[in-house]
Amino acid sequence: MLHSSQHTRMKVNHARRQLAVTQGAIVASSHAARRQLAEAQARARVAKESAEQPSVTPEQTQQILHELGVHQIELEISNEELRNSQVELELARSLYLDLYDLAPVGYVTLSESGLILQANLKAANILGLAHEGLVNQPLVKFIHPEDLAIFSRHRQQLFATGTTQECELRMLTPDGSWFWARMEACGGQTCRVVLNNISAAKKIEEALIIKSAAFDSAINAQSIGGLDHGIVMVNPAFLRMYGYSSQEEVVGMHIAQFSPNPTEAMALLQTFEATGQFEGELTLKRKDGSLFIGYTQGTVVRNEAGRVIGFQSSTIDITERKLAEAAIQQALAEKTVLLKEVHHRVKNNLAIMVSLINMQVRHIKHPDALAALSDTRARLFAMSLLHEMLYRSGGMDRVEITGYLRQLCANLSESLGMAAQAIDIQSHSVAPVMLAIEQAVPCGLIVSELVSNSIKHAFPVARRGEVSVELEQTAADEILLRVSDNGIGLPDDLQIDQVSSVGLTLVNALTQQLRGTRNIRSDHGTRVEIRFPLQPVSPS
Amino acid sequence: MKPKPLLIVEDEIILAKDLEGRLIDMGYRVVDIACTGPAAIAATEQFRPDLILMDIRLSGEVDGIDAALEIRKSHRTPVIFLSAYADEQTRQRVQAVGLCKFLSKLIPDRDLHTAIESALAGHLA
Repeated sequence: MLHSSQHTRMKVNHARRQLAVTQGAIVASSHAARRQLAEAQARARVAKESAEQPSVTPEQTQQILHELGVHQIELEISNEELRNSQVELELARSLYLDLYDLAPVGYVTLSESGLILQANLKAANILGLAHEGLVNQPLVKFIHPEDLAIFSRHRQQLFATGTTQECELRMLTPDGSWFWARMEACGGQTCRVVLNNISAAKKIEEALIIKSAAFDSAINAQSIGGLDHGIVMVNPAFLRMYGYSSQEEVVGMHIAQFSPNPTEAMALLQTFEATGQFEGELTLKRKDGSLFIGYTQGTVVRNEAGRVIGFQSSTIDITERKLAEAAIQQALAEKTVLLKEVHHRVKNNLAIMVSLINMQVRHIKHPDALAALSDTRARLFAMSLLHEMLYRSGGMDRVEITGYLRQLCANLSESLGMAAQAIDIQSHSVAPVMLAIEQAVPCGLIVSELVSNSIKHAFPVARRGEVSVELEQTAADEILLRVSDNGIGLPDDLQIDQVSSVGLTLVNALTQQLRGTRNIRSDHGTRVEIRFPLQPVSPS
Repeated sequence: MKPKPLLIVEDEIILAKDLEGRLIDMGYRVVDIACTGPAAIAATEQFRPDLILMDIRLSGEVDGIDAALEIRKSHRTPVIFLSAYADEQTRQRVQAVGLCKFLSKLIPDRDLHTAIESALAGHLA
């Protein structure tokens, strides 16, 4: 498809050629007519002159012929001049058309009543119509209904003042869409209007208005600075945060002036310029010299060519948050100290109870009483050891169970005076198993009971044996605890559910507390298996 | 053979008394039970024990490690610290004392006996 301007140019050239041909014809035809006329007049003149002057000398005839020749040349020159001026006229007309139609702005001539008398191609293009479609249309037809008042005021002012008037309004196109137009009109009753589609510029302008509103209403302090690190513009939140009352006070200040330590601020600025950005906590200074802690994000601003033209920064006041954080940290530290003290006391009190029993045991001779006290001491020891390990680990609410059971069994074997038995502690877990204190205590007591039982009953006098404690994390949420020995096993006639020993009662009760299941097998020794769900421990 | 004289430094008197009974059962003589750091320093001067069993956490300003450091200025008496304290800082402070060992309070008698004999034999660094 041809571009409209190109098209127009072609039309003009065609017209020029046509005109030249027509002109030639006109010239040619007028020449023939003139010739005829001249011939007739010449004949008439000759007849008349013959009547008046019956005889012409040869000299006279010669003279007449010469005159006629000169006259003919004169006529030819005049004809050539006429032809040239016609070509020039046509060229000027084309130039005018070219200037008018192909102008980069819309151009409309209006009658007094507002009818479009003439419009250029650009105007037709802006209004989305064919060139011819505009002529004799009222311009008001193309004005957005909501902006008719603007148009009306614009016309009134034009008529009243006679000077050039400008306005911005929305105009409609035949497809119902609208665009922003700038209208510039001059002239009197018949006026000339320049039209421009400014929708793109308007869009940028509106985006700038929104950005500016965001800048002004932001709750964080925002500043824009120049290459010299001087403040160019700040938002109201900046003034509030830094305690200034107006932009004028701040504009021109060096940003290092908002730091209590300008030397440090200058060093930071150098890093900022090198990296092009900054994000972090800063101690900042208000107008009255008081300090606050800000969290600041800053970036250098570049133009389209990538050259740095300034910087922008945004700050929130985090002083209160920092104070609250510090208070929480302190409270946490105090809580940790207090908790540690509580654990220390629990651990100490349990140790004191073990010691009390130890002291008692030294003065008792009766074997049953001695056995009862020893059992109780073993149970207390299991708890005391757990608290010591909790205290030592610093975690306070969990313990690595395998290490605990190993130490527990070492002590059991020694305190029961039966070092001949080797107790083997095995853990089948890949990673150390951490048990919460709520599970570690029953677990320790169960192992204490079962291992004590094996040591005391599985190996009658002089027989050596092995007691094995195994702990396995069989699933993400299940623990299997197995205590087995290679002793004599349970008596064949023993009904395990009928046994009412303190030890077994404790094992059953503690298994229940762990929400676990117990399974006892007697086959080449005794094997007790307890499965219980692993209670998750909170991350330390 | 004459029982070896040992000093117990422990502010929980029941724990101290129990330990004393265990040590006597093992065949040692307990010359004194000191409850504070200054009392431990004084008792060392007075009784010249062959070994000190020292709790780290003591009532008063001076803890067991400080008391041991003070004692170390004039005596080469071996020290066995009995405590649940085991953090890195504590261990480093214990290292500075020299001629000492760190044991849990809940150590079985057999292990305690072995540790004491080893210390008395001069095997502490």
